[in-house]
Amino acid sequence: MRTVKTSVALFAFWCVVVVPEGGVDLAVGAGAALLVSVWAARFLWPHADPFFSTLRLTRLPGFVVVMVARVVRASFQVLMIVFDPRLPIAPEVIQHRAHFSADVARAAFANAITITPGTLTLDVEDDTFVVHCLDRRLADDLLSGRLENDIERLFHARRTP
Amino acid sequence: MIGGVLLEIVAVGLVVVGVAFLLAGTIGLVRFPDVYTRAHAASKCDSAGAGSVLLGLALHDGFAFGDLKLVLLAILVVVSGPTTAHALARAAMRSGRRAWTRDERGPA
Repeated sequence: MRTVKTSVALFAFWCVVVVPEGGVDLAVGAGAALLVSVWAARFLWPHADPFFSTLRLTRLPGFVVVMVARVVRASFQVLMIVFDPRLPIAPEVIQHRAHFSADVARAAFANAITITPGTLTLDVEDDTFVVHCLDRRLADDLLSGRLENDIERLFHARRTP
Repeated sequence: MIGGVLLEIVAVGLVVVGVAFLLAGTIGLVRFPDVYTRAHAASKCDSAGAGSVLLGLALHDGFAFGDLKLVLLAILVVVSGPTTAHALARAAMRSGRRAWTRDERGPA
């Protein structure tokens, strides 16, 4: 099953990159995807199946839209700060605790912190995220726990603290 | 015809916004006082800027299946940008670099 899922994902990737024209392309792609996934599936996902659960897939678009809005807002904030002659920043390092059971959720959270306005993940140790803020007032997404809830909804992987 | 013009406007708009973000990121790289704040500028503006430019290019001349490649590239940029910034900032922290604070040295 893992091999099948992996080869489906690889085949989709092949189609996007190659833009197949005709049956030969498709057949070569399918064959290559199958061969690679027979070889690679067991160490690409050593502990569990690749996660394309329908729940996650249905929640993904909303999450992407929210994240894109945040990235644009973050860039706009940096733009406003950079073009302000006073350079209005007051950097601060804060520690934030969040509980996730899955490593992928923690990695996604760390990356999401970096991409949202005003915050940058410096280090992750177990449940403690060391975060550098450009300005505490800009870090409301993180401090209010909104970001955490979004990731939790997507991965469904938060354990009760 | 009208649709084509509209698409052109959206595409060019996305590219222009993207370039503005990239410019802001680059100026931030120069103006910000230390490695951490510079990583802020680089990670956010470059992700949004490059992503926006790539989406604009994908929409230009109408969206075809082959343009999914550009979308894939945009996703790659948006995921790898913050990861790189985090890796750099973490390395800086591990090597003992202290974060610049406003009260310490006054305005830049």
